[in-house]
Amino acid sequence: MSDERTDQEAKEEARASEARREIWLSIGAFFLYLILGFALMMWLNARREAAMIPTAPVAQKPIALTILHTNDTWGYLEPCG
Amino acid sequence: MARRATVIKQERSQADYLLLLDAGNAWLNDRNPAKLSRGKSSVEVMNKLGYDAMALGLQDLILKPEEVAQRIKEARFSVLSANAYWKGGVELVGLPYVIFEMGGHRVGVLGLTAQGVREGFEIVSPTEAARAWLPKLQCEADIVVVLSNAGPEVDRELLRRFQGIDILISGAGQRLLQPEAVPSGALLFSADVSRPGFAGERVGVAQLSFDREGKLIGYSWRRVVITPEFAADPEIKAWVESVKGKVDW
Repeated sequence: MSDERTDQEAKEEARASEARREIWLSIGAFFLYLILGFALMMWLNARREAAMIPTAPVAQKPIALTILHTNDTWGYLEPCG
Repeated sequence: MARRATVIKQERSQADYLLLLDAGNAWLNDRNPAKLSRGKSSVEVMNKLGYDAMALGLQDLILKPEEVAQRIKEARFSVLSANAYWKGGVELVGLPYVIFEMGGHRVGVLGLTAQGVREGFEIVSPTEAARAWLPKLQCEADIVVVLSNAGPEVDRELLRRFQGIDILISGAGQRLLQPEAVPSGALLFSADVSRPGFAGERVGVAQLSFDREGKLIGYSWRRVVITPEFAADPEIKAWVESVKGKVDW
């Protein structure tokens, strides 16, 4: 009787242990999924932000620039020169 | 206009890098063929002269929205305004700014229109538009030019309030201005003041030196008054003659 009970208890213990292991594995897989998903999002976001930063203008050398400017011509063709 | 073409050609022949800009109110007022053609003749001649960009002025927005849209299609230059919207206030009429690559530098030109009421358009504060667009332009360009039809008072306010403007070209003034330098180092230029019968008689010529970082290190400026002493450019003169009296646009 005592041996039967012990055997039964051992089987129940083994099943419980297996169930606990599966629960822990599921929890672990869930957190691993979250961590990987978060890391992927961070990586994609970093790439997007990097793409949004305007390229800094890189000037090569000094420049002499002439700007000709007019205003208020009103569509006159003559006598405006 | 044929003599203006001569001035432009002369300056082009002497410059390594040149921008030809108009600070607005370019398309029409009281005279033909601009009035009759609804500004089409003006865009045509600006194309021929090789303009790079213009700011929309309130006077240009006397045209109907569909006429403005057509003129913008015809223009081979950038039509700018960071604060003029089609009715509804969602979409800008022109481009807010344009960037020209010159000698390894990026020259950004922001366009502004005077705030006012025009049917079919919504024109918001040029100051607020400058606040919104200048930071973006400054990220993309190392030389910043504001092409403004907002009037000299607003223009001076812009120069007081916002850092990072190198040159402000001003239109729509009531009197001729001399070049002004503000404490930030920015320069304000204005070429012309018009009155009925007398428009487009002057061209501003700014010769600017920038160091390799795009910092303004020197300048000269002069106002060229286009007198009859300037020879008329034959091609433009012939074109002007051809459109005189033209009624079918």
